[in-house]
Amino acid sequence: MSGFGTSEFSTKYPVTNKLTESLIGKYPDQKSFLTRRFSSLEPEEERNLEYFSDQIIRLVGDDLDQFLDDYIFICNMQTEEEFYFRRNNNQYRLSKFQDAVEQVYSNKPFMASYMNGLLMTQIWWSNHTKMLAFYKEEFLPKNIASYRHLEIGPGHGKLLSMACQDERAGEVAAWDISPASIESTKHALQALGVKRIPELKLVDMFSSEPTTVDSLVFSEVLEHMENPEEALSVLQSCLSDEGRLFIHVPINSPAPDHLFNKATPTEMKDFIESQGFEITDYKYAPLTNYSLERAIEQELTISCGFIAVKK
Amino acid sequence: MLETIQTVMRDVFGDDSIVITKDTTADDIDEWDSMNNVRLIVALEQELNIRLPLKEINGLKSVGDLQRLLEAQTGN
Repeated sequence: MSGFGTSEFSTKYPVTNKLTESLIGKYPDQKSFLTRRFSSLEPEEERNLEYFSDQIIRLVGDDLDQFLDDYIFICNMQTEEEFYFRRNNNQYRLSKFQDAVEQVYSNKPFMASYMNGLLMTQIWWSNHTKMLAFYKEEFLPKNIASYRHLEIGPGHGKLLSMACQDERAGEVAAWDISPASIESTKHALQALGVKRIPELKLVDMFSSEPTTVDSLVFSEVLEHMENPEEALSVLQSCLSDEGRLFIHVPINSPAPDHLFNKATPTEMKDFIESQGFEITDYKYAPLTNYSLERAIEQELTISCGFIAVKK
Repeated sequence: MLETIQTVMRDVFGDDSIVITKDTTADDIDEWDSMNNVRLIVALEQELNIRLPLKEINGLKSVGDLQRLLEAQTGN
């Protein structure tokens, strides 16, 4: 496959190409990183990259310029957090959820930039692209027919929209603890062209009513948990006997609101399994332009995707 | 100090063939991306028992800039 900068790439991935050219046009320093990022794609990226870029461009709307700025904001913020992490024995800066609320979640402008920047990472950071593909190709299609679906913390709505648009899905719902996030997800789903808007409920998972689902999604949430064991216990209680759980959790990924970490993917896998789950499939995706072996050796960011059932 | 930077850089980047001068920049070394820059700086801080201000780190453009900053921080 010819990489970014070639006519083959721009023909095969026109939306991806447009977004990437826009970023480089505004921030030329990004060219080297992104040229390497798109110099080779895994098969699942080749199949899905343009679909994910199309989702992004719908969500961005007329505000591409702002989203580009916010992507650079998140890159710079991450560098600062990496310095703290590496200087302090690979510890995240925060360990208490209340601190994350005070320092991050209550700061609306910061959160807006943070969420916008995160959206753009879905195609420019290969680990994020691979996690989306893992969910789309390995999780949803293998759920039972007419599966009852619940996502906790749907964020931009990209994963949720795929469930909504899956003909095999039954009832689809999502929970979030933030009214603003619920509204944001609703608008995102409309922008993504979702016709069947799911039930979006303001729910604290730790004080939720009993519920049973066959398809449960907990993507980029576990690393924000002060009590990950308690979170997994709640997920256990929600899952039907035939149900499947999708978890995407990064390790060694310093961020302003990350609380929970493990040093290796195996440690994270073992932890989830120790909480009453059997992992039936997994995918480890290292940070962009690094091999998994090197990322493990140097304790760098790795996105871990797990599909699990109750033991 | 240049030799110290080179030694640490070779170790952090995992490449014993790296040779640097004051004019070397990140564009000259494939392994020198933003992640490895963090690792390099932290390793130099640990080697020299210093802490560099983030604002100063963000302004570095070359090995020469890094050398001057380290020498200022260590009093060398």
